[in-house]
Amino acid sequence: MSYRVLEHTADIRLRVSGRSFAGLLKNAVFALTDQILDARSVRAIQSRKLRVRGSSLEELFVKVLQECLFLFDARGFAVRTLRGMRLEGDVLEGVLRGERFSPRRHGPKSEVKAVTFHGLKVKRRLKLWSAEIVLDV
Amino acid sequence: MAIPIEKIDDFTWRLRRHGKMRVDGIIYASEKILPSITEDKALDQVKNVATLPGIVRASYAMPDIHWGYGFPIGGVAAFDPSGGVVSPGGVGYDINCGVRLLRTNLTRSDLQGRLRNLIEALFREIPSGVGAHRKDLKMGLSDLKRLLRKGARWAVENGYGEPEDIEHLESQGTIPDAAPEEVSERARERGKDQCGTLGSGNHFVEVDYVEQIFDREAAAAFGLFEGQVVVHIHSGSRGLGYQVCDDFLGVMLAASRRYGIELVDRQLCCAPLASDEARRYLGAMAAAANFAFGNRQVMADSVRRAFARELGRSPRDLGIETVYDVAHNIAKFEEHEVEGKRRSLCVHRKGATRAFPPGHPEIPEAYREVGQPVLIPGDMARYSYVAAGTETAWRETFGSSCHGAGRMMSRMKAKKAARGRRIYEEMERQGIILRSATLDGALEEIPEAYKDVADVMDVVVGAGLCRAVARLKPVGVIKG
Repeated sequence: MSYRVLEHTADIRLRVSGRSFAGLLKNAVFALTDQILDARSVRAIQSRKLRVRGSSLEELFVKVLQECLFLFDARGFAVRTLRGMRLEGDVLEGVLRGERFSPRRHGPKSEVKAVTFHGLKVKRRLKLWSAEIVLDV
Repeated sequence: MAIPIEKIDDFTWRLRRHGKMRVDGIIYASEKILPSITEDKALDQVKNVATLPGIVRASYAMPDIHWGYGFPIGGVAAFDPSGGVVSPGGVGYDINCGVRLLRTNLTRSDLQGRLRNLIEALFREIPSGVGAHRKDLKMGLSDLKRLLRKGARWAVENGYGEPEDIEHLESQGTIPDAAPEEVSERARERGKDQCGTLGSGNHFVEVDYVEQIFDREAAAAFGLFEGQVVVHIHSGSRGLGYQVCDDFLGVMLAASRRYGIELVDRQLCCAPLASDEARRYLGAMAAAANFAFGNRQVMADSVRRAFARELGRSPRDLGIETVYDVAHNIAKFEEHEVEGKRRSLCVHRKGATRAFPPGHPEIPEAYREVGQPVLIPGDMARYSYVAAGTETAWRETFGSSCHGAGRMMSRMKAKKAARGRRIYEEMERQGIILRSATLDGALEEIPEAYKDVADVMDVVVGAGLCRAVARLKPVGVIKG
């Protein structure tokens, strides 16, 4: 498992790690989807372009997840992974891979209302990146 | 570090003003319930809210309080329009998450042998859980805008429910001055197919019966009698409201910097009530609140249809009427008396219920002599309460009371505690039919994940913030 669920009374708090910022984001995208449905059942067969702007790694991190949540909630697109991440200045680009949500195949779990900045930490120690994030559910 | 609080009386505690606090914190609790409050970081948040500009009288905490986003869930704070602020964190992500109670003229025995089919019918009729939407309610932009302006009235005009429903809703189901144009395209896109859907987490539809009446006069006014079948609906503004909150947190962070508001926690980001940012947020928030009123109105209509189909009688014949509908997450301008002067204030209630006293003109005429109905759901197995607003609440908490039991166990802990238990059979042994979109959704909501709402009621009734009117017992529960 590339993420852990931590203790939080009312919401969901996750700790995610990765060997690079791109790896961290990829695992975070999976972790978010895995709260909403069974992420392992999602095939990476369709693409959606990702482009977000943020003044810090924390902000970029949250905005990528917010984009995934929006794609799911408004357009029924379940994101499995992030590919080809490029970061230039304050713009992050990449391709979100996944497929249309199917309640029958994807094992729905629980709605996520929002990805928050609550107690957000994105850290790097030597070669390991880690982040903690709270999802409002 | 523990926060020092002083006991005022058996149900009230003071968090004395210190540091950057502008007013005291007032916590409604009992010796029994206090440990669960102090364990959480909720009191830090009561203190933080007290630092905001223009806060009037005190930062209040209800006994079902727990740690939330910036403001605690179970917090009440009022701000002066001339020096005060509005904060999305003081309303929450699920704008106008709230509860509606429907009454019927059925008794428990009328459901004998029919309950399971009725619960199934409700489960089919009301889309719930992840990704649910209604096939019969696809909304175009112009319809959505009308819903955002009119709230429950839009739903009634479009054939969902009865005109009489409107009189029995907080604010008649429409917050005035909604600004659909301030609701982002993303928020509209998230919400357009979600009107009339329940959601998941702690949202539910529940069939209960009136187990006990505590206040005959008020119960009679609310149309409640012992043994009667009633229905709860708990849901909010769905993806549209969540997105409005998200959008405006960014706006308010910039506004806090722009207006030089010192924030002890960035999640308290806010804007002066006189600013353009506040006007925009309040317009978008009102639109989202109206979406929620409309959402509950459409679901109330679905409840009527399911009952009519299963029992073979018309909703009118079954006497399915709205008792009341309360908002639990909202900021509203209200007239209150402060130090002998009437003032308009912006009252934030986040996880708290308006509880206006007898005689208040905003209460439906049928209830005016007994006070506003206050709907306080418990957990899915024990009981819920109907209460009535009081003069004391009006004087002390800007007419506010608690909103439920309050969670005390994380979802993860709840699932661990429920591991290996057959929750559906367990509920059935207690006489409750449970239907959930997912097993996990049911496990996360096990009764012991919540405080006992009777302990919460002891506090609000003891403190005089509401009068207990009736206790309701669940017989059928639908979870998203």
